[in-house]
Amino acid sequence: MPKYAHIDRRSVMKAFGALTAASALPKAAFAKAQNFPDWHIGWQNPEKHHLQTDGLRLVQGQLPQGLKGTLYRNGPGIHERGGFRMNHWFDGDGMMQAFRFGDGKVSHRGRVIETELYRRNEAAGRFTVGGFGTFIEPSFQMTGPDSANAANTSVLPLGDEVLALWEGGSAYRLDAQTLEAKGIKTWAPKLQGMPFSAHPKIDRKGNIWNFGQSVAMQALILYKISPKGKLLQTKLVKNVPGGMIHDFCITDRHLIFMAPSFRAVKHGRNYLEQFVYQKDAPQHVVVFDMDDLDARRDFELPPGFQFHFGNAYVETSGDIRFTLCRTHEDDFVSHSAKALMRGELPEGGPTILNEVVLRQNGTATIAPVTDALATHEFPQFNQSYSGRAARYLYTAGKSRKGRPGESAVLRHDLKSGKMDMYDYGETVMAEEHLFVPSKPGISEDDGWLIGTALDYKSKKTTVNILRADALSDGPIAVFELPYALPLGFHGAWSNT
Amino acid sequence: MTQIKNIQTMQTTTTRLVRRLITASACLALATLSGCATANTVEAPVTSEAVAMTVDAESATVTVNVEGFKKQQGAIMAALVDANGYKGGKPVQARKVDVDGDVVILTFSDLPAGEYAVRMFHDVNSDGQMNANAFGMPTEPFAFSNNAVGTMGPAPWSKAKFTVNGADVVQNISF
Repeated sequence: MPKYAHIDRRSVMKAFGALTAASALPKAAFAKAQNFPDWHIGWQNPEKHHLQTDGLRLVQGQLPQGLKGTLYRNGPGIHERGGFRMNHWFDGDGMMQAFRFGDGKVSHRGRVIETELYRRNEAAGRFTVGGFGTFIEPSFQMTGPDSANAANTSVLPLGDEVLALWEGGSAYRLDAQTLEAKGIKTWAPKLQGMPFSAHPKIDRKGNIWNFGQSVAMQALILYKISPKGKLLQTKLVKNVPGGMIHDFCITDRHLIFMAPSFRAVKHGRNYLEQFVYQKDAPQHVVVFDMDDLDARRDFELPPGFQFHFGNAYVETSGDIRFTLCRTHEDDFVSHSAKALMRGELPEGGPTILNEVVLRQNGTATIAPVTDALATHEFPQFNQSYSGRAARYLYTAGKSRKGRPGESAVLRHDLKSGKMDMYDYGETVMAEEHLFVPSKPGISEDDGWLIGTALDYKSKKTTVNILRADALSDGPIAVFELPYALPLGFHGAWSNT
Repeated sequence: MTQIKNIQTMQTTTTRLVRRLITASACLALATLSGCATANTVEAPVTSEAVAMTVDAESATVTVNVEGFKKQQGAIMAALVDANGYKGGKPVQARKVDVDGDVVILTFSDLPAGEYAVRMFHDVNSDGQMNANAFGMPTEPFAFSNNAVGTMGPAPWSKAKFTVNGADVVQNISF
């Protein structure tokens, strides 16, 4: 009923507008922009909610021949509204970025995702509900997680759409060209409102696997989707402990989930508040067989927590190996991600690259790959090696004292233990870099690492292209945006 | 990084809500079977404020104007409850009214003085139940009198209740 669509929204606002959120909000949460350090620009709103620049300025090198496609990136964009600053990095309305490469140039379009939540927030001129780690008394009847869906975490290109992904609710469909939001993605009527997490995995046949978690039910919903976006299979799996699961990994025949020791054990006013890091709770690993989701194996690992996984594969012995970035307990999610929003330097321990082995005899071990001095996050690899042994893993890393974020991109040779690195410098925060093959089917590291970085001195975001097999030579092309973008989380490459 | 979000916190409370509303729909079904329920749908303008008119003290009527439907199909399943009914007890009266216009009007008649609340859901697929997904989240819209809202689930009685004391009452509810 288009006729009533506006009236409905206005009447909702009229009815609820009087319940001023401001009076209920902690005073400390209000923005004090003048006191923020220069690096805090990474956690501030963009210049506009819709940005577009054709032909970004080339400041170094040149665009390699044959590189054509789009880098999509997503992350929280609106951290402040109506004088209120979200408490946690993971909370603001999502902003999708599209960097299009081809014909010798690069263009940028960034657009805050027009979710139901965004429209409601904009109409009210304030945040109408909290999200992951911020509590705001909702002034409307929430009908489920999608009422707070900020679509702000990751992206999955699918046909002529890109899906903006969150973790607690549905994916949002965006037009791949204009990034205009086209509503929620419902894979099947019975899956309405079911969470579709932020790290779908693509197997060697091109099928897309993903999951959603209910910590309350200690359950997962598993999805199998065809390369063209048709739902092939779902399964509800119970008895998965309610540890916060953000990502998973796949071999060419398994789905592997790890329920961390960060468990939902108490009542919370927001999602995060339910969780407690239980120093004595083992991590619970569940392995499903892709061809028979009823076939399940369970393992235990020492207590721990991680967001992100690298690649996984099955050894000839039948043992499963994979990498992950293990955080220091819940330092990052519970403390650092809030401190950054306040302009304070995080004090938590580093995130360390680890390797896990799940053995045929039912035992499991975990051991660090990198030393304990520097953080490594946003693990990436050549996707054509998905599910089979890959030698190289790429991360953003090298934390610096006195500055937040990562300054460098690295290639880890998992066979020799050697690292290759490019450091962007003291005033730059490097974001996730994706591996883009130069030609399919040639050697594993023949391709580019492509990613964004924010220089908080010049207050500009750059798009950078490096040779994956020669990172320390530095970028072969750097394009500069005429503005700074808020730091994002995850991206995906599309050849179109 | 992580995201999510929120509100699986809602799950426990919302599951409870769904159970309560489902209870209401079961009672409603019974009421319908016994011929107690009246169904009427009227196209009419909605007044912007609740108004009270003086009528016979023993037979007050509560009129509920409902609007804001995402889809013009299915039916509104509504229960008028007292404090006990709000906790899951039997509704005082129940109504099922087809949604075939911008506005649906429900009436609850012959009400003695007291405190009441209305809760309702839009049975979009006409299966007589409030549907929920596999994680227990409601998949059909719901609402309460006074347009009351809850923090992580249903609105509390204190926000949804209204008083009937001889005069007719009009409630406007928007989904």
